[in-house]
Amino acid sequence: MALVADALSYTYGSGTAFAASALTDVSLALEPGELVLVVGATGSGKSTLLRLLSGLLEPDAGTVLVDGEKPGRPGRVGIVFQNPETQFFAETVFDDVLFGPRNLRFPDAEDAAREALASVGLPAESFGDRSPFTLSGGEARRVAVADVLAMRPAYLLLDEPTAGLDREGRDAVLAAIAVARERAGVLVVTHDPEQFLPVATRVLALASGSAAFDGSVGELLEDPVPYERAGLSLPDVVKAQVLARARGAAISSIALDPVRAAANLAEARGALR
Amino acid sequence: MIAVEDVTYTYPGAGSPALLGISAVIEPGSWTALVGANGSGKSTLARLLNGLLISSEGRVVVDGMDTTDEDRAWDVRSRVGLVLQNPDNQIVGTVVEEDVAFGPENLGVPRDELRRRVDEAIAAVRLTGLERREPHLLSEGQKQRLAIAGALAMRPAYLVLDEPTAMLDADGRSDVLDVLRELQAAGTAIIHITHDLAEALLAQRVIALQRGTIAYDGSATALLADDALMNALGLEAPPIARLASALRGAGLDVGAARTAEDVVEALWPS
Repeated sequence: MALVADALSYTYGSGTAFAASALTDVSLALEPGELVLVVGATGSGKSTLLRLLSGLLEPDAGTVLVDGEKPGRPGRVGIVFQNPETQFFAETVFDDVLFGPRNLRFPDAEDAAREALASVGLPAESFGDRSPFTLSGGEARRVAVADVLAMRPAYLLLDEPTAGLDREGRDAVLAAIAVARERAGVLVVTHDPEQFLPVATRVLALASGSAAFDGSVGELLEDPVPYERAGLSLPDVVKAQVLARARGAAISSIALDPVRAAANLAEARGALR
Repeated sequence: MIAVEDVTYTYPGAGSPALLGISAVIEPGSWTALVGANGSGKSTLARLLNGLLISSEGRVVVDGMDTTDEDRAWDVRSRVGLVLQNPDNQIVGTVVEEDVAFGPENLGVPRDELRRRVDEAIAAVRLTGLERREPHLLSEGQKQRLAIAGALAMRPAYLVLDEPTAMLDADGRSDVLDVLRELQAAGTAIIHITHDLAEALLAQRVIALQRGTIAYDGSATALLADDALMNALGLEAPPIARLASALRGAGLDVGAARTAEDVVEALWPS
């Protein structure tokens, strides 16, 4: 059971004068319960990879297999695009969430909608009758995630799921992702990985369409230099420890948490003096 | 200056006001960050500053012009430029220079003057050389700088930006912030709406809104130091500020460190 991408390449406008290579030889595997982070600057190939994984685009080379099958079976891979709340259409939150499972002819479509809303922390009893257009930013984003979760995907792909949200909205979305992960493999595409690194299992960093780093979060923190060399910016807290090391500070394991990072720096400073 | 005088604003059909009795003065040439949780009224205030919205009670006066005075509406909007979050919604021209020219051309600015304004605005946002480029071929950061150039071509004294970096990656973000720094140095007042406290640290003054009222008006560093207030406002200190504060707790003062470089330089001077 996994969503497996093997050696994917894709060129937009292939065979025309406007051909632009977007992705070259990128592989990844996503298993249920995992949270894989795909990071990279704008134009690094993140969105192309999402489209290939969900079957919206077919790769020029390489394969995508969803539990051993070609992608495209409805509901198997759920994708939440950027600013998804712009796509609400129903008059109530419940109807918006019900749309997917009903189209997939789930016999228990209403239960699926209720479960999805509960899992993002917006119970149908209190939010179901609201107009989706009157929700706060964080609520709206969570309804958009519920829209997709209601189709009970085995793999959930999220494009910048916390962009534009304040702390409260972001924390609520992160909590919804943690719940989704109990049932599905989750892949998050972002250019701002700091908030996801503490909970991610793997990181795939793209630079100009190729994998610049592919490994666990632990591996990334052990040696962040290749990641940085690929033009990706490290979280400030990590960067401070990398820079301190470059000035001779003895830091054995780089911390993500600011307080633990401060302890690392304070200890190294004491040792140097 | 822009004087916001006891302003209340209620959206048509809304039960409660989005802004309630707000007063503040924005000085020419200043840099103000406007922070607060989603729904606190930041974007509403931004739209009141240039007359896009008109207050239900109280008034907004821009360099002596009341924004309710319809005869002065164009003057107000020329004085106060507004740049929104999503650059794709703000670009109208088919090439970069046409887009920048749109505003002043509509005001009937003479041709030579128009050329000069467009070239200056494009240079100010560092897009020189891309004048004939089609906007959709620009990166997101370049597009946002193009939107800023469009506002600059109107020669505003005040530039209001509503989360201008929210949709940008790290490079795009730092390019936009660099441009804002240069604009302020050249005399334009910046009113920067953000919920990223790391960006608010660039401002001399932070105004924090909470449910439509001003909950804080002061320096960014004093706000960051007040954990209780930060929590009440739904704001979060940037990780680097939390690192610096933990270092202070350990007896190592790194001052007002804003970047990883600042912290390391304070601890291990090069």
